[in-house]
Amino acid sequence: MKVTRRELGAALVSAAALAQAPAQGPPASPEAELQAARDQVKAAALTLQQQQIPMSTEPAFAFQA
Amino acid sequence: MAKIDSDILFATIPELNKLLTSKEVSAVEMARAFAERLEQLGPRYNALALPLTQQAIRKAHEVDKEIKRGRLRGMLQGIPYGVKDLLSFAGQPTTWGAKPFAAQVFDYDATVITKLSAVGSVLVGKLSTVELAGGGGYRYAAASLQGPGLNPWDRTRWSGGSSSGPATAVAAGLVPFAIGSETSGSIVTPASYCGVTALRPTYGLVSRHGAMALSWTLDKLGPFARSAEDCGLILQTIAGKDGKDPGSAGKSFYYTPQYARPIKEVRIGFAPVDFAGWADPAARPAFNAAMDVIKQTGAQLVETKLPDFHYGAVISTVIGAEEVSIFEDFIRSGKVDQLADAEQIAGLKANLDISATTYLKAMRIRRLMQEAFRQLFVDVDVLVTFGRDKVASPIDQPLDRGTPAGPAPEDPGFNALIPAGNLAGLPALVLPCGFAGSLPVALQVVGPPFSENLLLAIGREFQQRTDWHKRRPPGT
Repeated sequence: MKVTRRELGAALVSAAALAQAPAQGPPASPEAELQAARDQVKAAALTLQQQQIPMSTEPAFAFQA
Repeated sequence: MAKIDSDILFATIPELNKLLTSKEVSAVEMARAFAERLEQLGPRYNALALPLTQQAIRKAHEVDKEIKRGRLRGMLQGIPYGVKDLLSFAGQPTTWGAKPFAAQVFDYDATVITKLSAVGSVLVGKLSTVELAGGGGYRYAAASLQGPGLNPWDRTRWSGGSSSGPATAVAAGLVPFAIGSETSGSIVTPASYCGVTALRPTYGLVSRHGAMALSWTLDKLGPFARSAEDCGLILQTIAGKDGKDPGSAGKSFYYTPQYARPIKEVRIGFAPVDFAGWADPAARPAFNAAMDVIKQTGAQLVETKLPDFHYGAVISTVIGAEEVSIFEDFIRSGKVDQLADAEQIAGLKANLDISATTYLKAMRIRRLMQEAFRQLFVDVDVLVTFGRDKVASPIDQPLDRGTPAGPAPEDPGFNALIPAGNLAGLPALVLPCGFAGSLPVALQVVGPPFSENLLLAIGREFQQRTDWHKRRPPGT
């Protein structure tokens, strides 16, 4: 799949607009540890969800030189 | 019997090869010297997972017979080495650094071990790794079956991970070279912290058959060694098509220093903020001096920016989704609770929540990253930055609690080059470049896919002008 410069530029701009989640200290219990890990998964998913990408973009399952 | 002195223990592969082919030292003498040293000193650094001394001496006897008959198999013949303990060696434990897998034994060799055996290299031991190569994330250096990897330059500091044993063993002169792995940072980090030259190859160039899978689309195997040249010689042997690895790129690698581009023609992208803003202040003089050396080579330095993506969110999603698919039964059965690190246990469990939609979004963004890097490499030939911005952390300090030297710069520079380079499948060469106090720091040079010969040419040029890669930790 070929991505045009315009499509790539639009994706980069939307990525730049998103904020990074702040780092936190270690949780006190296994339950809190798991909750903190789940929160990180959710935060990453939300970050990715907010990034706009061209509909034609296919997943990177193959690598080419 | 020839005396194996400390110069031999820290010799390069061509130097060792000369001793073997001139019969000044036999393969058995060399194997015995390194194997015994690894057995004796490996535990001092928590670097040794499994000694293979008897097997090594048997193999070395075969090599001596071949050399005696004039059957020379190249530079690696008779050279001892170690492998990270996530590579299978038939009939011997392969623990993946984790207690729940301590008794695991496979009946076949990893492809890299088969290839190295075919040219007469001598496996003297398996080396420690962070448990499951750090899958799920981990908070403490102690997240390993052997305990925390101790840095040969200062045993109160971490060796880095997850290829802790390979970096430590090479730095301390316990093996001439070692094979480690990287999913995101597991070669670059320990090589930087231990002051060792190392190469992360392009994704797919080296077969991972027989290696623990953590992330099918990110895992790579690569060498830790004494010099860029040694890395080239090793890569030539272990690279190549392998039908047993679905990720194999089907390409060979020929180490061709004689065809290297003149360094003056090479355009090196860099971000000044890396060394002026992100690097720990104590490490800046070493990094600045190293960049001066690069300038002196005549290479063209070009200020560059990395494509702006959320590399952290993408790579945590890709690794997270793939590792929980691989380890799903292990996690759901509850065996995961036997791991040493509470954050790792929680991380693996939580990653079960990653949806297919999120994973595919990450992989689609990854496609855009690859395209962005393809365009970046139109303007520059390689990128250079620090291996890590700080020296190795204290062994008892949580790894997710760094000590910021000041406010983070607004310009991200190349701070995300480790996840970015891994997501784009790019090769990286780590070059020791000095010290901050008593601890080593290093540069990483990253190029387009399959540009290993260019990276190695830059590495050779740098190492002809410096001797940081030849420094030895105190007491070794």
